Parts: sequence; structure tokens; C-alpha cells
Amino acid sequence: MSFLDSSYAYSATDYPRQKMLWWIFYRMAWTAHSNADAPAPSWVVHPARITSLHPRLTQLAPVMVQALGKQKDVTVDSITEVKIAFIIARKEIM
Amino acid sequence: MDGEALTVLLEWTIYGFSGEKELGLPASQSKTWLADRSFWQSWVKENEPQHIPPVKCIKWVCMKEEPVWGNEVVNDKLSTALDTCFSGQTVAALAFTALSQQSRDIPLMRADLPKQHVTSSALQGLHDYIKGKAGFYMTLEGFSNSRKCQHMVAKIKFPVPFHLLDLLIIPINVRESHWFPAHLDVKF
Repeated sequence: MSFLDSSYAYSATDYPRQKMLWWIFYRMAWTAHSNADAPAPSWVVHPARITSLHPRLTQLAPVMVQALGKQKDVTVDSITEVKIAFIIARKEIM
Repeated sequence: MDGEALTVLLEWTIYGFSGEKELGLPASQSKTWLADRSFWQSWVKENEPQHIPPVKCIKWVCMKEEPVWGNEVVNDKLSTALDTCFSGQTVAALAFTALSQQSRDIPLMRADLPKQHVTSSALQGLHDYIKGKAGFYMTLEGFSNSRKCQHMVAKIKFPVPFHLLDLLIIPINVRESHWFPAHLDVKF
């Protein structure tokens, strides 16, 4: 599944939210209408682009997005590290 | 191609041919779904982020299956309180009919959260849910809204089976002034 670039050109500011709503819709429509034997939809995101997605889609807290924004190269490993660090910090507070 | 030939070709494409004796092209099978503008307007509205007042965090439901859509929220205090609510024998068990093709029933329990635990700060959106010992907890309001969205999606008629679609065209409202079609390539 991919989104054509024309969508971004027309609504850059609202793009992450629109993208999230399309994905919600697509997942729900798949559940309701698809043939059970058909392969389930998948959305592959390049690690470097993960922070450009809506935080409610990626489940990244603002502090995580901020931490990833400071990194030169965002990789799967660095995303995992930031998430783990956040979970540990949260547990220490509690 | 002149106008007449084009008209004929279009007629063939639209009406196709019914037998071997007739000439023409087979009817085209559209693999594109164009979303109705009013449908998409409602979809966006129903999924708008909104403040959850505490009064909407009193009534909760517990599902055995993970919600089709929603965000899992981690809140240990609330989760423990809801575990206690749903572990009791006095919980009212309700059965809602699912809107899936199989018309399955979703086993559902409903309970009121004691006042001292009622807080809206744990939730960021109406469709948030919490994973607990008894299942997946969601506010009754969030659950109802989620069902409304499922209703909307279930009523859609696609031109071909959903998994065979190549393209979705969604009308997007830009700056509340005009609409433009956003194309989604969903080819596998």
C-alpha cells in the first residue's frame, strides 16, 4: 500500500492526520469486506520517515519523536533503543 | 481515433458483449473505488480527536478480542482498577452483534468504574483501550463510536471484492475550501 505524492502536495499540514484516517479506514474495511484467504494489508515504513507519521499511528510519545529528531540516522535499532529508554524512565518514575 | 469510433469503443467497454457472435470488448472491471464525499466527511468527523470529559469515563466495557481500531494506552493504576471491576461476578454481561461478514457475537461485559478511579487524563482519544487481565477495556462511549464507524464501513459496496481493488480515491477537504481526490495505491 502506498500513498501517491499528489496527496501531500495538496494538504501538507494535515497530511499525517489524513494518512492516519486512511489507514484506519483501510484496516476496518479489510476486516469487514475482505476474503479471509487474502493476505492481510501491511504498511512498511522506512525508519527515517517514522517521525513524519501521526504519533497516534506510530504510538511514539512526543519525547520519543524529539529524541529521534536529534539523531542523524534513524534506524530500527535507534527507534527500539529510544522506546526502551522511555519505558525504563516511565517505570522509574512510578 | 474519430468521434464515432470512440463512441463505439466506449459502448463496448461499458456494455460488453454477451456471446461469441457479438463483437466488442469485454466489460471493463473497475478496480477503483471512489469514496462518496459525504461518507468521507462523516468518517473524518467520527474520528476527530476530542477531549474526553470524566463523565464519559465512568462506564466501561470489556472485550475478549482486541478492538479492530484503537490505540492501546498503558496506565497501570486504571488497569488495576478495571481488573477489579471486571473480575467480579456481578458484572452485567451483554452480547452485541458484530458487524463483520460472519455476524459473530462479541462477548462483552459492562461495568461502572468507582468514582475515585475516574479520570480522563489517561485517555488521549475516544478509541483508546487498555489491555487488562479480563480482556480489552474501552469506555462505553468509545465502544459505541467505534461500532458506528464499523457500521459505516460495513455498508459500503465495492465494485469488486475488497482485496482485489487496485486503487482507492478519497476526497480530501483542503482548508475547508475545496476538495481534491487523494489516490491510494493498494496493489499487492
